[in-house]
Amino acid sequence: MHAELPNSSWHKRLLYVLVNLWLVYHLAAIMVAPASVPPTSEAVRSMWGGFRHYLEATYFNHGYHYFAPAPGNSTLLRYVAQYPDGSSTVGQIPNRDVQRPRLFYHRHFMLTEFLASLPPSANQLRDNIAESYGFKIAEQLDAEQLELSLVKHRIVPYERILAGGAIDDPETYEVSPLMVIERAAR
Amino acid sequence: MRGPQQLTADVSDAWQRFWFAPSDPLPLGVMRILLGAMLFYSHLIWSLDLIGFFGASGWNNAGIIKSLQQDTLAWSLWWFVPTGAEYQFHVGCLIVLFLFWIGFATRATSILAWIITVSYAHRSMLSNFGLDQVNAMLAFYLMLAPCGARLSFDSWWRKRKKIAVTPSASATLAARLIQVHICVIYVWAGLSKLQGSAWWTGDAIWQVIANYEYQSADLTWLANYPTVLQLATHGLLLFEITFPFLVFHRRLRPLAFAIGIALHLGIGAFLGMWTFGLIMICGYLAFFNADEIRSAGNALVAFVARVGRVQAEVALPEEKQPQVRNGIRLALPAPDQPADQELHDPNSAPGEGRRPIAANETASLPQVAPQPEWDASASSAHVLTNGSPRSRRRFVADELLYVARSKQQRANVRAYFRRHDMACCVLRGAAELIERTVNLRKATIVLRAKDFSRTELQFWCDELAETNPQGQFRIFLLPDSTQRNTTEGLEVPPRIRLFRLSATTTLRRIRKLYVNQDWNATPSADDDSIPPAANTIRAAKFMSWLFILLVLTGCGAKKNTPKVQLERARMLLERGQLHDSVQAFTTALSQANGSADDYYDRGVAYERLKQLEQAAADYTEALRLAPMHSQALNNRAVVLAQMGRVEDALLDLSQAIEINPNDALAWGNRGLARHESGAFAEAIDDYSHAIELTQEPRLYFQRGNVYVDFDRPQQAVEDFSAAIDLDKDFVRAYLNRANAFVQLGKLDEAVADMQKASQMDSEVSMTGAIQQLRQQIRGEQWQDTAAAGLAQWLKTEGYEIRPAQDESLSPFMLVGDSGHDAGAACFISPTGPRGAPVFEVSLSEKLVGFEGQVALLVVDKQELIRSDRMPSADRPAWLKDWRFDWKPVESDFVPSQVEVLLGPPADSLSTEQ
Repeated sequence: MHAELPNSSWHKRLLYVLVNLWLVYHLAAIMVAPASVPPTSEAVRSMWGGFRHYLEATYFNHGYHYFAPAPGNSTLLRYVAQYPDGSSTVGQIPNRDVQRPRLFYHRHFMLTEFLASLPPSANQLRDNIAESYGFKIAEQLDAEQLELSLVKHRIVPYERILAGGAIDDPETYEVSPLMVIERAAR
Repeated sequence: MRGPQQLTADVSDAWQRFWFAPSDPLPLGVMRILLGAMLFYSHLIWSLDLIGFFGASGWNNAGIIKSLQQDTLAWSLWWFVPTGAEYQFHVGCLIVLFLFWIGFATRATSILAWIITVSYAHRSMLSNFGLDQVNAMLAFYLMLAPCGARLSFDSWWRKRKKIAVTPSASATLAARLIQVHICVIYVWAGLSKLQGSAWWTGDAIWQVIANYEYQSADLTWLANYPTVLQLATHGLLLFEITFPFLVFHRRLRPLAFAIGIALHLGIGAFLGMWTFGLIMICGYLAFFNADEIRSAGNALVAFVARVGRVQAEVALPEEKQPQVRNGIRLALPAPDQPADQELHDPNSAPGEGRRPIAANETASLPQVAPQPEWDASASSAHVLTNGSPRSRRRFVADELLYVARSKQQRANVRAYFRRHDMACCVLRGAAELIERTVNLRKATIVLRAKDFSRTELQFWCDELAETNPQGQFRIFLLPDSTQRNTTEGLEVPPRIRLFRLSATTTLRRIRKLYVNQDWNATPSADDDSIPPAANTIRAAKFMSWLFILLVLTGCGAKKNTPKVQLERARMLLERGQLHDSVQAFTTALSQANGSADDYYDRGVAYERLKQLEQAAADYTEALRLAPMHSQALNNRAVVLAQMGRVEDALLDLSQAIEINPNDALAWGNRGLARHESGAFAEAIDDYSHAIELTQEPRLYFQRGNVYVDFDRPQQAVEDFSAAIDLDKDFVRAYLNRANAFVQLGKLDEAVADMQKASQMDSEVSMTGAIQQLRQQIRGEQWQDTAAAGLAQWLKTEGYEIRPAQDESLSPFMLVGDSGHDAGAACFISPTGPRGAPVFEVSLSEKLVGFEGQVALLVVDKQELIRSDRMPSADRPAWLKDWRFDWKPVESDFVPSQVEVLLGPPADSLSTEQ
């Protein structure tokens, strides 16, 4: 089947030309977006400048690097919440027993995965985000103080399963204290 | 040979056809329903904690999101929602998404749906993932197309108004853009994986399914089949990178869909991301045309009806267009019809005999179309399916005519169709064809392009139309190897439909086209239609069997291999079962050549067992295998230092630094070694270097210790303070800073640090804090000066200096405690309610005029509970009666001991400022 060329009137022709121009630009943009994720070349980086705002505005600025370059460890946020009466609770984000349905759990999981996705140079940003999470948890729990820890859940090789281990063995969790949040400090 | 002008024209034509050839928007209608459902659900989920995720101080903190989106064009309607109106806005968005879902005012709601999707995604950027990306992508493209023209409230309304749905160029444009975008997603998902070693070693799939936080079904049993995992890893990578080639290749397309659907269903079932998996599968619909969607829908409806034994008449959307009617109607047979009753196809040609059709085999029989114009709905159900589960034999209602000039070809065709128990009339030429079709109502004709020129073809089509003015014909044209388009420019009446098949079309394909015929299909210039969904299912079945075969045959892992034993050894090491770990390492290393890491890990186990010689030997072996193993160098240096070989340790650490000048651990360890060897200045330099590389509290702490030994308490206090700033719970930093404060003569600060340390860590308090405080109050550094004077004064006053039980109880400082004779120095008794809250301390009059420092320690079970120093201003009162309120947490608390200690006056200290 052949499409009918819009040769009936000048404005249809103009529209046709504009649509084609946009089409070429759009195709280039959606290909440059993932290509510009580091490591990349100077050429692609310079191209990114030409498409950046368009991609940001249309929410097409994605790399589609799913499970790449390698499926990484999970990152969790553990907390110990202290209450004014001296009692405390321990919890973690995400928690599949609390956050249901699965999509809701996944939303929380992405919060901590975002922390892990930040480069090491973005320490300050990571601390700021973790602090905002901490204040949110403290507010949710009505806690006076919150001790936050970042937990890296290491992925074990399959040989470990054959050796009698499990993917959730306690020693596969590496806990790093992050910060203490005083709710009154805000 | 084509000239540049022709080439340009061809390219332009191909571009035009690819992007803008009008098509039925039915696939986009189906996609709108699925996407609308997904958008509605995924946004509804936000309601569970709307303020939590979208509030100013929620998970997606407004300040942080704004700073992250600074200097970008990321926008969101959420920024205009006033506080307190979040739920109203959210409900409004949900209503719009619902309207989009049902296809109400779709032109407007599709645009609003995209705006809403992007608004939510930009505002909640910390909690987004692939689902939001694909949602927004599909919403964007559907916004460009008439996605509400079918299967919608709008289409129902138009139908009432008798407004026809016409093929749309924008529908093609949107579908093509979705196709291309999905290809971009797959290709980049694959290419980005090439950067990771796990995708090359074949471990990646295992790492995905062994991720506990993603896992929604336990697949760790696959550890027994590492070959399957590795093949799946390589296969997935290959699939993602080659997806565009697979999906745009007609024959490979079912394979692409089978793998893709299996992949995304797997993501849903095993990683818990059903939403993402399903929306990706939804995107596949863009690769189907309207006819295929209808066929699939019919097959699905027939399947459901057959399974449920439902007696119903089910109709897919039927559009009453002025010229083209695409509806397909299926009807199940009446239940009271005998199963073996034979029906006859009314569309079968006179004189050709009647084809037997089982009554329970199929949908309704097609109606004869007496009108001269083509009527699709009247001839829609020609494929009569045998309902018997054992038989898949199909009968068709029209004639199959195959024209082939080659005798061999005719024989092949005849044999093939005979083998499949199907009637096929094989003819030698077009003249026979015309003769044969004179009385036929319907016929499917297969011609080979190389047998006809375009002019001949036009001639025979005219003949066909003229000799049989009421017949309906479908011509499958097989092009020759040059792929020349002999159908271009042909003028045929609507009742003769031309399908130009690809040059590689097989008899099997022709048979399937004939049997699974869809007379409503719009003839296309090149038959790039997707093979039936059955092929996709068949490909999926094939893969499943392949998987089962791999699992069952020879892919099982052995459990006693050295690699497994080494992993077991590491597991035991992590669990602190050091002896077993060493044994497992030794067994494994005796069976296979170990790597540097294996020897290194065993060295760690030996080191923790304090078997320093063996540890050093293993580190040495690790270094022999990997001379640049800086961790082994570090650890060997630590072991050597513990063995007293500080010089050797320094050599190792210097080498580690040479290998990696940015190794902060090596710099820090060399600082430690130099500290131990007494090279304070060099140690401080090393620590300073390490601190430049990494701001670790431990490094500040250790440099502070060097400053203490280097008689620079002020710098020491600064370093300990820096360590405390970085780690508020660094108990030893508090203790050592207290020590440095003592050196500076700042006892108030020292005692405050001690108290802080004792509050934070009871273990440290028991073993260190009391002793250190006692020592500081006692003032070891005073012993040579002021302390000697104090001791002399106490003796002069008649105190009997008791021998100390341990070093901490200095004989000349402890002047009284709760267990001591009151007459000697003091009397301490609990006088409050239940004997706890208030202590009264009376001191001997001999202490009148004492100018030194006085401290009170309240101790329970060797733990410092509280310490107070008497301010000098209160001294006169204190001499008579020292009372202080004691407010323990438990009202019946009784300390095991209360001690009063004396020290020289603070101004008697000689400290270096």
